[in-house]
Amino acid sequence: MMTVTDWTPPIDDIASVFADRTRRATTAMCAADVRIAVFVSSGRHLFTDMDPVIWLTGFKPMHAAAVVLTSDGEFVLYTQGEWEAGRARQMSYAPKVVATDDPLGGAASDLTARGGGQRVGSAGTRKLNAIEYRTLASDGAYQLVPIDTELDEQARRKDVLELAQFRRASEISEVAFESLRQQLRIGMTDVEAEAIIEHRLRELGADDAFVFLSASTRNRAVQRPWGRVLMAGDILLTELSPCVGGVFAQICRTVAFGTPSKELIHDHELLVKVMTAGVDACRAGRSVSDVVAAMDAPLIARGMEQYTKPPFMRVRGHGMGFGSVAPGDFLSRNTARLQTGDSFVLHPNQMMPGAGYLMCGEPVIVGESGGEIVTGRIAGLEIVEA
Amino acid sequence: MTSARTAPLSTPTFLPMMQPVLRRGRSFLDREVLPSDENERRLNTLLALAGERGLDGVVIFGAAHTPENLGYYANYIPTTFHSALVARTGEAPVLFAGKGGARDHPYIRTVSWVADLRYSATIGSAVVEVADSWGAPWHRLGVVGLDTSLPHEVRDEVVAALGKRFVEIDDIVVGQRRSKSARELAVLTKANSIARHAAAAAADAYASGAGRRSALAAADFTARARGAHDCRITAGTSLGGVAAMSEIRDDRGPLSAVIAVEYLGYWGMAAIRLDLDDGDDAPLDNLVARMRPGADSIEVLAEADGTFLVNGIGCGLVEAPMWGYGHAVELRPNDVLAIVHIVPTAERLELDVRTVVVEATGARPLS
Repeated sequence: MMTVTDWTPPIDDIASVFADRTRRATTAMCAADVRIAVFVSSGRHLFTDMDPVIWLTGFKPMHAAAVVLTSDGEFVLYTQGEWEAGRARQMSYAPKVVATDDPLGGAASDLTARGGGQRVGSAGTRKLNAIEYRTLASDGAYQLVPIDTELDEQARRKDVLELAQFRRASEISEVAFESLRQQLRIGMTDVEAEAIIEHRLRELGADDAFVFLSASTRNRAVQRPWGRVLMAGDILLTELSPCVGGVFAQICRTVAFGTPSKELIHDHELLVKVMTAGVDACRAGRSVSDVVAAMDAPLIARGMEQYTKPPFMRVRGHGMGFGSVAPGDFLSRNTARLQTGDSFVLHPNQMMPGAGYLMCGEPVIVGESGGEIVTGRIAGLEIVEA
Repeated sequence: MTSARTAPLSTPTFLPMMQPVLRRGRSFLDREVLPSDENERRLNTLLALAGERGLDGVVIFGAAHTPENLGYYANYIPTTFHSALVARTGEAPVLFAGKGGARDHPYIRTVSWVADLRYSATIGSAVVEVADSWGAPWHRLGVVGLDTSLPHEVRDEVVAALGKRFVEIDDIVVGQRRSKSARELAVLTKANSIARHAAAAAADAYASGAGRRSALAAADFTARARGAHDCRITAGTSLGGVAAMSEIRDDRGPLSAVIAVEYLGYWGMAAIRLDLDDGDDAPLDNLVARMRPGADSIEVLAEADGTFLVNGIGCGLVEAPMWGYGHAVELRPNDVLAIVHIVPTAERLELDVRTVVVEATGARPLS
C-alpha cells in the first residue's frame, strides 16, 4: 500500500481555520462572562483530553505553555525558552509567541498587568500539578473561572482541518495495521509486532500514537506487550491510535494465530453485528445512550445482558483529543445528543463468554442518516496461518 | 497593545523531548537483572531514612508522566492517571493502581512485586484507610511527588485527607536515586547500548538513501525491537533549534538528532553522528576529563569549550545531579550523567551525547 509520508492537509487557508478557533474561544469567554482568559497545556499530553493550546494554535508543546486571549482578540502564546518559541513560530498559527523561562508565570504576570482582581477564564488547568496551578493562580491576583465547558461547546463542531486530520489518522492506522498483518508470523514477539506498527506510523508522520497490543489464548483485556512469543492458538489484540496534527483516530483489531476456534469466529462475528448496529445508530440528534442501547441489543437478544455491563466491557466508544472529546464516553448513562461531524471511535470491545476479550472498532463521523466509517469497513477477524 | 513580558532568557538546562501519551513497548518484571528484591531493598532503605525523621511510613505518588519513583520502588509504570505506593516497616505495602478500576490488576501483578493491589477514585482517603489499618498507630507520613505528580485537585483531596499528618520527603528520594547501584549501572549500560544501536540504525538508513524522518523511524524501530519501553527523539534543525520527530520532513536535509530510550525503567541516550566517528569530540573529552568526585559544576562548565547540557540520568531523563540548572553541585562517586554537546553549524544544530559514571578516579564512559 503506497502512502505519502509528508502529508499536508488539503486546505487552502489553514490560517483562517485557526482564526475561527480564536473567534470560537472568545465566544466561549463571552458565554462565561469573562473578558480575558488563559488556555494552558502542561506539556503532558493525554489521549482522551482536550488540550486547548494545541487546539487554539496548532502547536504541540514539549513543556508547559499558555495562551492569553482577550475578548477583542489579542492573542499571546507563552512558551518555555527560545527553542520552544522557535518551534511555535514554525508550527503554530499564534499571532504572537513569547519565549520565557516560565510560561505559566509569564501568563500570570500578563494577566496581572492587564488588570488584577478581575475574573479570568481558564481552560486546561485540570491537568496542572499544584506547583503549576499555584504559579498560574498568582496568589489570587485575579479569580480563575473555569471555562472548559463553554470552550468544549465551541470546539465540538469539528472544522475542516480536524476532519482532514481525523481521516488521515484513520488512513495511516489502517496502513500501519496492514504493515503488521503482512509481517506477522509465528515465532515473532508481541514487542516486535508493536514496533512494526510504531515504525510505520512514525514514517508516515504520526506525531504520537496510543498503541496497546498484547496476546493470549484467552485475553482478559488488551495491554502493553511484554515479550510473549506468538504461537498457534494465540489471539492478538491491538488498539491502534495514531495522532496527526494533534488529532487522534483509532482502530481496534483481533488477529487469530492459526485456525480460529468456532467460538472465536462466532464471538467476533457477533461483535461485528454489534458494531454494525452502533454505526447505524450514529445519527445526528440521537443520544449516546441510544447508540449504546443499539449496540447492546444483539447481545441482549442472545441472553447475554450481563455482558453489556462491567466488568465484561468498559465503554462502547469514546472521543479522542486534542480537540473536543465530545460526545464523551459511550455509556448508557450518557444522554448527550450526537451532532453532525462528531468524530470518535466506536468499539464494542469486550469479554465474550467463549473466546475471552475481543476487539473490533473503527473511527466514525456522525452524519444525518447514520455514521460514516472512515476506514470504509468494519474489520473482521484476521488470521495468520500457522 | 500587549503587556506580554520579554524578560531575558536563561540558557537551556536540558534537551527537551516530546512526551508521548502512552509509554509503549515491553513492560515486565525482569528477574535476571532487576529482581524484585532490588525494589524491596530500596523501599526498606527509604522507610529507614524516613524513620530517622520520625515518620511512621511513606506514600509515593506517581503518574503516567512522572513514573520514575513508582518504577524505582514498585517496578510499576502507570499507563494513564496517577498511582500511589503506601508503605510502613513491618507492614505489607499497598499499591493503588489501575485505569479507572481494577481490570488491569491481573496484568500489574505480573509486573510489580507489590502483592496488595487496590483501586480507589479518592486516593487521599484510601491512603488514610490503609494507614489506619496498620497494627500500630501512626502520626505522620513522608510523602513523595505530592506537588509534582498529582493533578492539583487530586493533591488537594490528599491534603484534606491527611490534614497536618504528612511531611514532604522528595529530597530523600532524590538522594537515594542519585547514587546508582551495580544493578542500575548494568541496566543503564544496556539502555545506553540500545540507544547507540538505534542511532546507528538511523545513520545507516540515511546513508542508504532514506529520508530524514524515515531514518529516525528506523531508530525508533530498532530501539523498540531491542527491548526499549519508550523511545523519544529530538532533532536539531537548520534554524539552530530543535524539533520533534514528526516535525522533520521526510527529505534528504541535514540529519542531527538525539535518541533517548528507556529500558527496564532506565534511560539511555545517543546522538546520530553522520560525519564523525563515535567518541570523536575533543571538547566533550576535555569536559569529561575534568569530571571527578568533588568537581564543582559551575567551575567545570565555566572552563568548558562549548555549550553543554549536563544532568544526571537514570529512572528520569533528567535527574540529580542537575548540572544544567546553574547551581553549584559537586559530583559524587556513582553519579551517572548524560552530557549533551550542542554545536551550531552553518547547516544544522549538531548534537553529541556522552553518558559517564563517576568513579573515585574520574568519570568513565558508560559503555
